[in-house]
Amino acid sequence: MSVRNIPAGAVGRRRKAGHPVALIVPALLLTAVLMIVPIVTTVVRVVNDGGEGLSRLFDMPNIDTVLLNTLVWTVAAVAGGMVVGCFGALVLQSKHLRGVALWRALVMVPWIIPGVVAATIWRWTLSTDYGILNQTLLDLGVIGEPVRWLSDPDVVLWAVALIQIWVTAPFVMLMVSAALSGIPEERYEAARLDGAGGRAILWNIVLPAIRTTTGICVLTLAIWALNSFTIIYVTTSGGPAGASTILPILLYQAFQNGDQTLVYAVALVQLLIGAVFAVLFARTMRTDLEEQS
Amino acid sequence: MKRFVLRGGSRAGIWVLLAMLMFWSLAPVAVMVFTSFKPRSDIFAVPTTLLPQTWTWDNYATVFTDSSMPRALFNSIVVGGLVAVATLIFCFSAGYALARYRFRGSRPLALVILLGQVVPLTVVLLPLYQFVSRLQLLDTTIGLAFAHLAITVPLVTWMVRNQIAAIPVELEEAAQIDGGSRFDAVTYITLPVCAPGLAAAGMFAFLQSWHEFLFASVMTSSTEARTAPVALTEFSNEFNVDWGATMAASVVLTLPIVLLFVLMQRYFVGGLTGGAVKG
Amino acid sequence: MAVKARTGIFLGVAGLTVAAIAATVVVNVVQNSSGDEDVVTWWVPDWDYQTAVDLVAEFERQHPDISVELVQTTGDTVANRTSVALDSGNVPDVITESIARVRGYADKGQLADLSGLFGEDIPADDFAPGLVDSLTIDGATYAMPYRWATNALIYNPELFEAAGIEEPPATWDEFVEDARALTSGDAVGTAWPVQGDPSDLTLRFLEFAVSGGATINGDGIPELTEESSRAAVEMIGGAIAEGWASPSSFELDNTGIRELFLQGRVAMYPGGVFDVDEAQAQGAPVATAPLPGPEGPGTGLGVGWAYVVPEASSHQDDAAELVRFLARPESMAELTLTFPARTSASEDARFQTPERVAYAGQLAEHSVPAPNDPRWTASIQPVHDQIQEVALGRETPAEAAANIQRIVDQAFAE
Repeated sequence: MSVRNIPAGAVGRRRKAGHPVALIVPALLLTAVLMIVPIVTTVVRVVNDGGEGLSRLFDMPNIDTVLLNTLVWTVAAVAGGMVVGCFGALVLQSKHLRGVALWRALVMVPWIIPGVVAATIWRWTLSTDYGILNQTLLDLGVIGEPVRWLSDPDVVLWAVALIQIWVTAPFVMLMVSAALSGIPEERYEAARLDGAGGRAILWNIVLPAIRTTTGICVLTLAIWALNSFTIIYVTTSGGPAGASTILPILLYQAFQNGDQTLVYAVALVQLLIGAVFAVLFARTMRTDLEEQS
Repeated sequence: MKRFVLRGGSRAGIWVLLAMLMFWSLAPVAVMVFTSFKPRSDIFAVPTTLLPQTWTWDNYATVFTDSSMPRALFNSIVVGGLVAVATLIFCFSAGYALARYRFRGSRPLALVILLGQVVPLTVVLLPLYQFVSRLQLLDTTIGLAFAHLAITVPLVTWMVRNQIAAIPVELEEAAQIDGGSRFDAVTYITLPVCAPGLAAAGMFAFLQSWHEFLFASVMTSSTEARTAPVALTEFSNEFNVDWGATMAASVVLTLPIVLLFVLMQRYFVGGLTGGAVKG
Repeated sequence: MAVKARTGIFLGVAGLTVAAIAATVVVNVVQNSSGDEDVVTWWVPDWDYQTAVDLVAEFERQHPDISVELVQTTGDTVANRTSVALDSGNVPDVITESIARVRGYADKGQLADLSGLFGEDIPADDFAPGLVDSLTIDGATYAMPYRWATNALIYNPELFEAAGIEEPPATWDEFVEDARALTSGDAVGTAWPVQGDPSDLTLRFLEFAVSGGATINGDGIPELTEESSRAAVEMIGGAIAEGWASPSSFELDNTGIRELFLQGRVAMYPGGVFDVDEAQAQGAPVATAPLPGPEGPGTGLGVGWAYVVPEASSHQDDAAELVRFLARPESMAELTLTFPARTSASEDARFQTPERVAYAGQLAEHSVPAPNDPRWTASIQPVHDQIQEVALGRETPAEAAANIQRIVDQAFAE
């Protein structure tokens, strides 16, 4: 098959007309049954409750803190995950390394170990008086007295976001590595012939080529951050005094208490926030793909 | 490629960066591994030490003889494997359609599929439970795998759609000109080119299912269908958590997946495709 | 358009996979729907499982027409699983559940009335004081309790001796004074479980509050007073702020406190009998005493486990028969990690060891059932936050008490 003869410059993306119903129906049905029904149920429930759940949610004395925490947590988790993940993927792409298969597998470990265990080893590591991190920092003289990672209201949110980053960065490494391996070697060589340096290649070749991938990574990290409670629940239970409470924690508590009214109210708020992310993402992807064609 | 990160001379530099990456990724894991070899009294010893004072295999003995963990590991791999395969089949077809065909409603449709991913699982739980229960699939690995599709299909559809959209359609057309069918074009061109992306998406689906606790805890009851995250709770009761055994179980769970990952490496880095995209 | 080899393979594999999945579904549907309908299913937590197997064997000998299927649950999954099963109507016939959650299910009409079981064989007054009442709503009793326990004061006699203290504290003043004296070097007087399940901490709070004048009425509703709340918050949050309760309390759950106690780092704490067994198994110095109160013995809050029969069960009569069998004193004595719910079952020698005397006395004379009204359950987190505010030094105990009063009043006003 003579695919190599096609000039790269002529990349066009002619879409075919038609209704590929058979191809989409399975995934669509699945999504409809599994997800759209709950979305409708949620909205209907909140409406039927006459907004009681919503008013109870927004009457909570600490709701401002919770929303702010959710925002900070999401932004920190997404930004941190992207930076660490892209850094890891770039390092692992180097041809100077030997045994890359092993290294690539090992960086996945934080994502593979059970969530409860990941949270617990971090809880131990960050413990004020008994944790290895504080002990080491004290021994090295970096800090004068133990940092209360998980019990200082000003620090705790960053500490739990750090754990979330640790757990989710391997996903970004995996996706970005796959995208990097799809960049043809010739593009680098052409750029180098034009005299581009390492940084220029990174900005002008690599990052644009993986933009759709980074887009989907950002979306996935945001969805995870907006739905995860294991890490916070295991390390701080949302404390101290609500300093690390985010919406999913409220949702889980309401679920545990069998408080359906509140469950659906929190779910609706989370849904709306998630939907904003999803729509933004879909729009970015649209312009992106159209630029290519 | 790759000289773009650090040019020629910094061979040592890249190893330093790798060391940093490994330290960040694995230092906390060391706590897990070493704790799994500690006897109870060492785990909470003050001051904490990373290494056990006395090494013991007891925790591993507990995992293999006194828990359903071996079976649960098997179940988890079965469920995760089913989820990964089914997700890829569904999402490749849907993603291909969304990327390659222009039809009315394609954009709203794609957005609707994506919205499926933002619903909190606690809200999905009851309707899904009733659905699986009506299919008589409660407490089976296949029923649980079905439920897990809910958390993989929307995002993977988009991952696949983007990958396919990035492949020039001319490549497929060239194959068709050579006398192949559209299916041939997909299998010989599209699939190999997006193999790394598909492998990554499959791994994503597998690990989503691997970690899922809420559905698994509610939809499985017997050890025949119980998955690993649920089996981990066997090591804790109302008053006590056997952390030694939990950590040992966690090591036992992690090793096979890391091994799987090493073995599947060539699919992730796209060794198969080298030439096809060169253009 | 001939199909090329690789295409054939891909299509074949995809087709086969789909077909295999479909076939497995069909096989499962056929298998599961042909299941035996005349079986009583009992969800039992894994810590009771082995004993339950033996008990069920005996039950089936006595009732040859009833067969029982045991399904294992775990402590961390039983709540989610039970609530979803009850909500969906697809239920087992008997469930071992925590008593704290029974009223929530009963309020939704999801549990069968078991009051017919109580009578001559199973007299309600053989149970711990107030226990059956707390599970009875409008004359219907929705659970058969079988395991019941409170906290007592666990202390390290060697640390007490080293600090020159001869007797365990009997009053709050002595508790505070001793705790201060015991706090030195690596050891602290006491510690509170701020981390972990928030109800662990609010249970300690309520123990102090009830000892200090609050009550818990027959409907499982706590009736707090600002004064009792203030005293309770001061004992917990204030103690952490002042340092005679471990500042690490923020990072400790019940397990963590026990482990520090075993290491001689915490001198005393209110804890369950399981911790005593554990300390003895480890050879750690341990002794027990009644909980201190403002003037004399304090009140412990009873918590435990019970059997419930779902309203939607299709074998309610057989299920009730099984529960009747499990409610015999000998069954209860076997199936408990703490104490049996019936006084007549406590005569067994294993409940009479010296360390258990304090618990038995606490249970029989100074205990009330923990509140189980769902509105209280929903208030636990905000109350927990208030205690932490005091521990952080951001609120005074009086401010926190006023806030707690408002939180609880508001919850019960709805």
